Amino acid sequence: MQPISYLGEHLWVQHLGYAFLILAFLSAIYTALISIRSYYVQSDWIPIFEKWRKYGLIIHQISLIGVIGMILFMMSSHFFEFHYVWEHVSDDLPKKYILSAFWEGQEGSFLLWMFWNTILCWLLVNHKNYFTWMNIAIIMLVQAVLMSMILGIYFFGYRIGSNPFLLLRETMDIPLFNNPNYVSLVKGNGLNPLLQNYWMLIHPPTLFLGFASTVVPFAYALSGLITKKHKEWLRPCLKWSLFSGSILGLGILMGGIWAYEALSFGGYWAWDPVENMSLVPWLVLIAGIHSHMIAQATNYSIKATVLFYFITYSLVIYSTYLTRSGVLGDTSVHAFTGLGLGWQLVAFIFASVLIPLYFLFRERKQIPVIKEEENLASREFWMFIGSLILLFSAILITFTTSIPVYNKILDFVSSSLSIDLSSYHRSAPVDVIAHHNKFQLWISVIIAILSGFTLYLRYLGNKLTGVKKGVLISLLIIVSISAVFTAIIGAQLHRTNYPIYLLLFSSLFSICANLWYLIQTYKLDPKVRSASLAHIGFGVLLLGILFTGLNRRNIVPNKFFQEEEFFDVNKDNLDKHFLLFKNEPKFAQGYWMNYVHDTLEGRFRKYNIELLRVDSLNNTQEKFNLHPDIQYDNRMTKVAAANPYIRHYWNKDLFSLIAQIPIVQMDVESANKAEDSLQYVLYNLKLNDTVFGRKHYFVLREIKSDFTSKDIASSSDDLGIQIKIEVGDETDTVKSVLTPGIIFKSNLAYRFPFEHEKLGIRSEISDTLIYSIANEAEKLQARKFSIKEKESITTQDGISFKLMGFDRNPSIANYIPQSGDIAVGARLEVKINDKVHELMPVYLIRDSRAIQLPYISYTKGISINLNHIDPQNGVMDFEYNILKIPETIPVRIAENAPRTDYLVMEIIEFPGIIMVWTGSLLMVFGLAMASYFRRKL
Amino acid sequence: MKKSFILGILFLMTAIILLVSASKDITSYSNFQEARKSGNSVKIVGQLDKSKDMVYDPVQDANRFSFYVVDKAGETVQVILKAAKPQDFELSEQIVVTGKMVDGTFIASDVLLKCPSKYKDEEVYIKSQS
Repeated sequence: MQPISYLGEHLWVQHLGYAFLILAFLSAIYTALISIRSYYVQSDWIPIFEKWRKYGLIIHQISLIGVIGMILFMMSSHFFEFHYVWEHVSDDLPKKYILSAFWEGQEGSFLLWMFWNTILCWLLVNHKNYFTWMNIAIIMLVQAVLMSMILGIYFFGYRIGSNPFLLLRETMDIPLFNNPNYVSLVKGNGLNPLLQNYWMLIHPPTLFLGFASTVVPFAYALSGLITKKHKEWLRPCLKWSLFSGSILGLGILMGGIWAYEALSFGGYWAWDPVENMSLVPWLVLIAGIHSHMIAQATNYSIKATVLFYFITYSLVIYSTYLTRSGVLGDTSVHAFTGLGLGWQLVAFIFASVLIPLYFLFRERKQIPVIKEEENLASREFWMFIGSLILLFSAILITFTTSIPVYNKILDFVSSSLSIDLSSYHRSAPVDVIAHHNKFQLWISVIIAILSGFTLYLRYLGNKLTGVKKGVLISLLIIVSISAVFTAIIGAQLHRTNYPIYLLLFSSLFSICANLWYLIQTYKLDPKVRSASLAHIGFGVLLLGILFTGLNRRNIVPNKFFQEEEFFDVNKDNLDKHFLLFKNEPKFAQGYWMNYVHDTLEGRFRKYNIELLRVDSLNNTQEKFNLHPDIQYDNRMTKVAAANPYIRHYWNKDLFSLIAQIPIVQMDVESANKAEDSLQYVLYNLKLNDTVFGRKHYFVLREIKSDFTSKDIASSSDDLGIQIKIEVGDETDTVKSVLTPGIIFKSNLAYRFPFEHEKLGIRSEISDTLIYSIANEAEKLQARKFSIKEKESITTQDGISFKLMGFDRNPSIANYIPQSGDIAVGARLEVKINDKVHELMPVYLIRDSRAIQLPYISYTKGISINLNHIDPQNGVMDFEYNILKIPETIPVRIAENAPRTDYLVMEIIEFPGIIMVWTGSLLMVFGLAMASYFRRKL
Repeated sequence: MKKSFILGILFLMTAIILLVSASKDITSYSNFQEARKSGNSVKIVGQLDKSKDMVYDPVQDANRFSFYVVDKAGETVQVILKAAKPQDFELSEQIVVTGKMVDGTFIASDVLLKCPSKYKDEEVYIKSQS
């Protein structure tokens, strides 16, 4: 078969992109090798090696930016012949979301990660020390592995990586690609609507910088082992660990904010696997930072620090595997779909565990260890306990989150042994949130208490020197203050038991103790301030978690009024969602709520819900509007997402979300189905006669013939009919009215159905009305006549016609001239009911076919057709119809119409959520500050 | 004995106890038959029975959505979710319901849908010519 030569493909982009990819891959390996080699050369060679490794890094940087630049270029130019562009971009995607689209895909997010790696390399070069180039070598080796994930080359029959420069036609085989011009036909899929959110512009880069930056402590720890400088690396590394802890924390926090602001589950944390696997490396990193500080101050726990940093990085890789291999498909809402990178990632995990462990094993005897035991009254002892507890926390979370991995391993074993092990498959806990909370609550209690008193102890202290004078008294005062606060705040909580009180107490203790420590040591050492601030942040975060978790409540109109007083402590028994009809306010827990209206703006249906907060005497305290919206998909065919609207107060948030809307507004297909399911019955309604339907009776009360609509340009010949139908049933005392309408314009009819939402009635005037309008005259005799120019005739029903002449360029409503037309318009003067009108039916020859265009005037009460022209004697044959508004109107009525003027929504009150944000920010800030103060070390 | 040794043993024991108690929460996926017998809250994997009616009438009750699920053992049971109907429910390939059996129906507190990936590779949308 002849290969097809395709039109419009930008193959040069692909070639250049490939070139950059391969160059970036090779230069990463080159830079790594030359950097390692430079540690083993004689000193006179060093300046030359210095140049070589720097050039390597520069080339890598340029080619990596080249790869990213090419992808961004083809995305913003909408080159849909590329699979990656087709998958993530569409013509209607706003320009500002190109970056979000770039890192929506796996390849893009790997590139983002690699980009940060190179930035970290330059920062390391900038802070040059003995370890710098060993670190860069390690980072570049990682970089080469990451680069291999997007190489897309075949190696002994195995594909390595998924290439972002693949053409659409290289990824699938469909008949479309038989068309050489397919490029102009392809339409992009576009970005997932949930990700079209400004948080998606800043959250991924921050989180990836956090993930990427964990490589620096990892590299330092490994460099220390490789170069056998077991203590020297500690000092320059600490600022990096703190930086990494801060940025990764910020990234996780942003993820929480995004989930809270953009997702529908109503919360900032759901123990979702993807969330968990970003938290776990952070926990171990924080453990590492603490043991790092011990190591620096006392030389205890150097090995532990090395291990913590190794585990952190392995967990980052493991987390990458979980989110990117598709293994989480069953349990997470926001995992990537698999790209077939599974085995490559598994190999990466093993490498990231085994290689560092080899060096640790090799150096196990050389790492300095203090033989003496830590003293119980020393700071390092309790700090180390804290680090171990953090590790516990990480182990527990990882244990439960990895269930899909066990199942995967079972599948692998069963397929290689060909036995069925599927009965051993395990599922995540029935209540994941309760499961994690149960364990993490105790961990938080211990960590909070440790973070409160450990700062009061001295490094290398003992019973005599460890505890300063007066410390015990301060601690005693702090404990009693915290206890008082616990009692006061505990009374505000809706649900309590003793673990909750314990957590409340320990978080307050941590806040008070660290605050007191901050005040006391403020002038001594700025580095200590950052520790206190971060610890205070942790305490505040715990308070926030307690408040939002225990005091959050759904605002729901209660079915039983008393229920509010006997507030059920088990909130799961209460309904979450409620229904509002348009302009039918409902009352719930101190609020009057009214669904005012909704408007369609682009892809969004925006709602306006008015809330009145009232006191017990029904006096309005506050009036405001909530604007949640519904987002349709990129093709406007169905609902893609519901976006919450949050109203912020200093002490709480009101979170609102649309949960359901009428099916006719949901998607096109269901709207059609819903229309089809209506059971219309045709009634011929006579003025003031009563007919009986399925549930109601109907009386036609009025027929108006002056109906117009602003949607249709009206002319003086149109007929607009609107009728008034009274509706009632046996029980109704108040009668309702239906007012459907119809407009006849020339030979077209426009229907204006009328919907009565509450009664579930849809009514429309049937367009068969036109027959009865015209057929009134049919009872009369022949309505045909033939006349010549200037002749007149009076028909049997007393209408006189006079043919005034012809018009070769007639202009009437239903005639649009075309070139080649031969048109004759007959100018007729008509006298009906003593009124004289001028009419013009048209006889048209188009493409050698004769077409008669009648002249229809409902207001003049006549339609007339020019049937035939005899060219020999000039006789013209006409046929006319008298149009009269009939007394009987055919009306189609369906009584089973579902209501379309409602919404189902959810409103949640989140008290104290601000503490979650400020607490987390304080921790992030404390870590950043600690890193900043050590920037010169 | 050395303090760090005792400490190490202590931590190891705590770790084991914690993991064992954590694994108690982790169960295997159940089916309707087992749920009926035990009466406990369970997780069931199954598929939506599309031949049977799905009923969600918010005008009646905004927090009641009923549908039918076929579990892995092939049994079809009516499930009532005490919440609004989730989005894209009809598209689900696989469904995980959490809840318990009450009088022959399964009262679910939570459902997790596994939907086919948003855009299937086979579908390439063509620009309309207009």
